[in-house]
Amino acid sequence: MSYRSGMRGALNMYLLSQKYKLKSFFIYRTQAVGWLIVESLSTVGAFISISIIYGVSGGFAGWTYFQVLALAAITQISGGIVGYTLTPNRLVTDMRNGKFDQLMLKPYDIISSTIARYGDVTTLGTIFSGLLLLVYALLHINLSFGAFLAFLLVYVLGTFVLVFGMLALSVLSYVVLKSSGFLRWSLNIGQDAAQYPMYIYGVLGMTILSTIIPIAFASFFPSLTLFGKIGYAYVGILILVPVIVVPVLYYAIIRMLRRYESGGG
Amino acid sequence: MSSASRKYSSLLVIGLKNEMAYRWDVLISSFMWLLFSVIGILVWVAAYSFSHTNSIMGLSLPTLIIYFIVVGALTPLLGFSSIVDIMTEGIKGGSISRMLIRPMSYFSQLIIADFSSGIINILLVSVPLLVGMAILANIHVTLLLVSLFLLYIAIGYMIVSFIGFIVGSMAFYLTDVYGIAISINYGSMIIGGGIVPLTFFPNGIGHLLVMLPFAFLAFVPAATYTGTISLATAVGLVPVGLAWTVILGIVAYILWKRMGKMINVVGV
Repeated sequence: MSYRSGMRGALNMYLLSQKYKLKSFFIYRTQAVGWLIVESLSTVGAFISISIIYGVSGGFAGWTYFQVLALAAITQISGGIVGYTLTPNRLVTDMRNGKFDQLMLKPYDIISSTIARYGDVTTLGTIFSGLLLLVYALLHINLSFGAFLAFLLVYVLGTFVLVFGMLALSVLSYVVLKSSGFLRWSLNIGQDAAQYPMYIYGVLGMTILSTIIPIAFASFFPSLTLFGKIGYAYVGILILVPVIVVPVLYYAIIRMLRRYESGGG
Repeated sequence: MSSASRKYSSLLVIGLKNEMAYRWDVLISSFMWLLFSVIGILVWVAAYSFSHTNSIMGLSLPTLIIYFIVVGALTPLLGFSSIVDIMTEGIKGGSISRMLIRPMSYFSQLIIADFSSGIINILLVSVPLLVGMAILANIHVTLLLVSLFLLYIAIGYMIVSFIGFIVGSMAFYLTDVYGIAISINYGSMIIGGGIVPLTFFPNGIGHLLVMLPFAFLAFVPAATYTGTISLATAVGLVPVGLAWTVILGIVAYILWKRMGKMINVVGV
């Protein structure tokens, strides 16, 4: 099987699995809408907390209310995308009890199979509500078309870094700890932190949110691009870093998966 | 020791041993809870600093910092119940059958399993933090304050357990309740005062939110501890907390009666 046909096969498998996943979720429409509304709670929460912060104080230096709302919305969308592609603790639990064998045996790229299986479709609610909040916030901000295009590119690449970063962290957690309890909350904490301008966490906080839980690439950094808070040179770096990091993470995950011990299941 | 307490204590010991099988994970998780508080503190330090003020809505920055530390200390117990995970795994993997055939109620087994996963965090992080904060912040500790604080922890724990049970029951319908569990957890943190103290909400909304069950997971115990709400107000909220415990208990019971009929276990 050539590389190209292998990629095409994996993509077809992914799209087909998502089609049936979505169909089975939306088969009970009222129930599905109910879950999507529940899922959007985190976006509503972000809106409330930011509104209160700006209502009772001056907010964050250098950031307007609507800019922070947009940042929170972008963070929600990214968190939703990660949730849609990966449930870290379920992946590690399956690796620990041997259920991961089933994926290893499939004739597709293991990473495609993993993200096809270990996603949670209900997080679409977070993505939709995040999009609504983003549109609302952007309607109150003057944006340049060029900055918006640069934002889209930085955001898409950054989301790849986040998804692959979380997948790498999950597999590393299996390899080192054989456990994943802390992973359940790591993305949640990252998502909570990333909805505010990250400079408030200092160098240490920003380093953690750019490396261990790389949510900065899919929230803060794209927002800086969107609001023209960084120059073209930095935008170039934000495009270059994912181009290098994603393949490195891909091969790191594949290498770490060699340490997987089959449960014989 | 009665046979019932012997059964429950041995279940607790087994739960503890299971937890300690992954020591590093337990250790990392214990301190991870505090990161929620650290985020809250840093966000408000930035907001206070940019506003050039020492007090917002009558709350000084040091009081707010103590408030968030107390919320962080309580999070392992009141943040979210691992009952959701245990139920989801049990329903999806079939291990629920093992729990159902034991000579103990399903709910009490869940509570013990959840408590055994939380007790390490409580002993390692919560107790030292709460005691340390009381000494460092010079909190005027009275018997009434300690009793109220402990009562609110008990009420909050029952509320979060019943909510966990209700969410966990959804696993009968959904393939994965992870997203919903996280979302409800986050939502309850917001409207429960875990990220923004309810004092900062507009008057009418703030008063309404204090009356909801989520307030007992963060705001009510933390505000009682820091003195953000008066002792008289704190005492007045006890019936509200107890009422929510009963209401959620009844909802969980009715739900279980309905869901229980859906269990089909293929015995081997």
